[in-house]
Amino acid sequence: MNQVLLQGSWTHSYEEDQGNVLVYRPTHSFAFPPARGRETLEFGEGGKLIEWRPGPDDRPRDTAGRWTALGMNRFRLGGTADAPGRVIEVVMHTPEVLKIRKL
Amino acid sequence: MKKKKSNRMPGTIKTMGVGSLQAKTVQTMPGGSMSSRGNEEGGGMPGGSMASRGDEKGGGMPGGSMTSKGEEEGGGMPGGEMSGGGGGKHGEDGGGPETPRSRSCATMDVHRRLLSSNPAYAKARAQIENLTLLYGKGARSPQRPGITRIPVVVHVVWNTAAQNISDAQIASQIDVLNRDFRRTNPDVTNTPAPFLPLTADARVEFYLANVDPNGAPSTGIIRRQTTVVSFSGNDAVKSQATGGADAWPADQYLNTWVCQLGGGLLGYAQFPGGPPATDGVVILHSAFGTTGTAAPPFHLGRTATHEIGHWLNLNHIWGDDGTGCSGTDNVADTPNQGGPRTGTPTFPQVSCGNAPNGDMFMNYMDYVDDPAMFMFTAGQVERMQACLDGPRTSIGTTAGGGLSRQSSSPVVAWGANRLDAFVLGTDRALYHKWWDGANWGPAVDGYEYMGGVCMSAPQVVGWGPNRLDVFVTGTDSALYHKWWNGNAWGPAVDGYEYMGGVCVGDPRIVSWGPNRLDVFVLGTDRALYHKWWDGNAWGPAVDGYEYLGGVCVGQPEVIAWGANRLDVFVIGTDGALYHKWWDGNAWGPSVDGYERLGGVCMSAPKAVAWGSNRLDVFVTGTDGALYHKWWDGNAWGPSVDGFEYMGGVCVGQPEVVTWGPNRLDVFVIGTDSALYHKWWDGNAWGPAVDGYEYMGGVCTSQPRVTAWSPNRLDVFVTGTDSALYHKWWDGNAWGPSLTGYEYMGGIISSF
Repeated sequence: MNQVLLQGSWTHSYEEDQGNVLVYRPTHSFAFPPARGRETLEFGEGGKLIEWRPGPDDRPRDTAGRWTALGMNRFRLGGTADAPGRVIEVVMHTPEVLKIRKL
Repeated sequence: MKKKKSNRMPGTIKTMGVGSLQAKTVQTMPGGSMSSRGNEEGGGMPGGSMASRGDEKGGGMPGGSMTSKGEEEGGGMPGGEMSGGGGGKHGEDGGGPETPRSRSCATMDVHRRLLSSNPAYAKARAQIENLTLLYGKGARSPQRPGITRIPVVVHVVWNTAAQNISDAQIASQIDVLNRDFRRTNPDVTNTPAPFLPLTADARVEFYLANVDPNGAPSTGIIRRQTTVVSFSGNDAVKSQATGGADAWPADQYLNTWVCQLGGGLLGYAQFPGGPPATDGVVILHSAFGTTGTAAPPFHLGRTATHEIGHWLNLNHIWGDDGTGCSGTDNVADTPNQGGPRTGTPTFPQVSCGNAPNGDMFMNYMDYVDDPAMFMFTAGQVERMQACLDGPRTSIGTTAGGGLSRQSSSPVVAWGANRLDAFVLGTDRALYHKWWDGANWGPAVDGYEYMGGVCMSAPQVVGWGPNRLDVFVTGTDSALYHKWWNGNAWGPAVDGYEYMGGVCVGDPRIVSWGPNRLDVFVLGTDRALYHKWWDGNAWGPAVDGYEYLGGVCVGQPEVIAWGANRLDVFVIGTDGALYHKWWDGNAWGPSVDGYERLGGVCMSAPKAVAWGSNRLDVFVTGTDGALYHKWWDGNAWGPSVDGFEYMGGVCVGQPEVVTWGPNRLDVFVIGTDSALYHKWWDGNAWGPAVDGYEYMGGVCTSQPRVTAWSPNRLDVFVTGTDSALYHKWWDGNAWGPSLTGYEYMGGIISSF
């Protein structure tokens, strides 16, 4: 697992969640069914992170933050004043699917 | 309404006097001289000397003795206890007291950024939350009793033919809203037992607008093909310039855009306090309604329920703090909840230490599938009602195609920016003129000839857009009827339908719904008689009447504050006010009985209803002063047989209209024949409880007033030259001036 592989835009395919393992699919190529709102994680170069979540009025709203590799497949997301940090563990990563566990 | 003890008015003669002419469908009225008028449009009214007119707009009314009153607002009426009253500020609510915010509002980070980057929006939102907090603390309670009916415009913005959803699919969505916001959705019974007592009726109903912003008839559905393949949450669908459709005025209509949305987005909303041009809700076409393109699991119309919840200021049930436990939905009776729930969860789902009952995921403001959400709570209803009283105070009133439930009058507005006035000429024929939003027809001082020889002032109601029903009595004292169906006058422009009876005085008509008419007349025995049009036929017969008892002095008054509801007021031979009502099933207190409401009245009563289960009744007393009583949904104020003293010395019957919840405008003629005005703004009487605003003129008729939208008034009187005169309040000022009138021509014998 390295930074290059984590790049790209991943959207929560919550219908596929398995317990506390959350399943994300490529935002732009996966045929998501309609939903009231989905979370999207955009991993950019140089540790840039944009998180999309439905806002109070259901429109997708973005929050800018950073992501940092911690080792052992663990990553810290956010950590700015606007976006408190949280740690995830990547449990599976292929071009088609990203599975994470929130720690 | 609570039942009152049955109290018969004096007199119990049961037959309606004479007048059993058999029905004829189409018949001109008797009276011989059908004054063969040239029927050309734009013709002036017959009667010779077209009274040297007061020409220029803004001209005062002719008639000499223009009692040079102090023109300052708030002037008292001559002869009355001149409680000076101040200000006379019109149409403004004195904002409620400021309350410190005592509840932290944890919204999403991005939302905070938006608020900080848009100070005006942030200020509006803060004010809305301050107002809403007053409700939560019990410092204020909802001002709108009963049901608020909101006109909806649906903008169908389609790219492929399938997205051009059917009228039936749209109707199915309106049906869903009218169940979900009234707690009549059958699946509310699926609410888990611990939450069931919290479920509540939001007291809001929706209907497709039947009048457009220009006052023209409308289906409430706008269709536009677009080249935009799919829209996002950026408001592009709300503007013609970006491939969408422009909003209708957000203070009158709920704008709903239905389109293709990208990214799996089902819909989004705008909270109150935002820009009018983007106000409303946007819904994915396949998540709209229950038929057509609607697709599981969002096929039960709940996306619109959810978005309209936001539009009425509801927050997500989890508090919009991601998955944390610090956010709040600003509602006290919903559990604290982590993040949104999706799909169809099984009860219970615990988060944020909310065991044993867990999350209220079946609430419309969570993110579950349509079949899994089915309730609002009482706290959410209170928040929505606070929104209707505050930032959305103008929505769901008479504008936007709401039907007039006032009793009949010679002046009626069947839609926004539309007026129809009916008068009798010196030949006692009926004449008509109208304002179409741009011009007076047939001319500013001209009238349309409508035939007949009439013995009563014309009484008109409009039960729908571009619909008019006119009632008069003929020289045989029978009732006659004619109607405008949008295209033509029936039975003919100068013809009338014979409706039997021998009537004393003016008939009174009210319409409680589309294609419904209820007509009340006094017989020669001075008892009250009733007939009705149910959409198909006249009851009890086209020329028959239902006997309702009583011996009445003066004219009956009738009002409908809701569907299938009638309230009738008459003056008895003892001068007291009497009341009876139709509750949808039966006449109260009995078919021929009346509730005695006290007083010694010198004028016919005038009643209005500014909301459901609300009545305000005005009469003049033996001292000529105005008196008022009201029904607040539970009891008569100030008491069942008491009246509030409102000062003045009035000539004739008062005229009262309401243009919105908790708003009343009263017009009377003073002993100097000038027009006087007072108003209730929701908090106080202006200019003072017993004071009046002087409005000039020398009037020879009672004032006739209508309000075709919130904060709009049109006043009509006749002058000493028997011509018609008009003045108007446009929300900011009186036109042509506070004391001036617009000349409208004619020589009028009855108005």
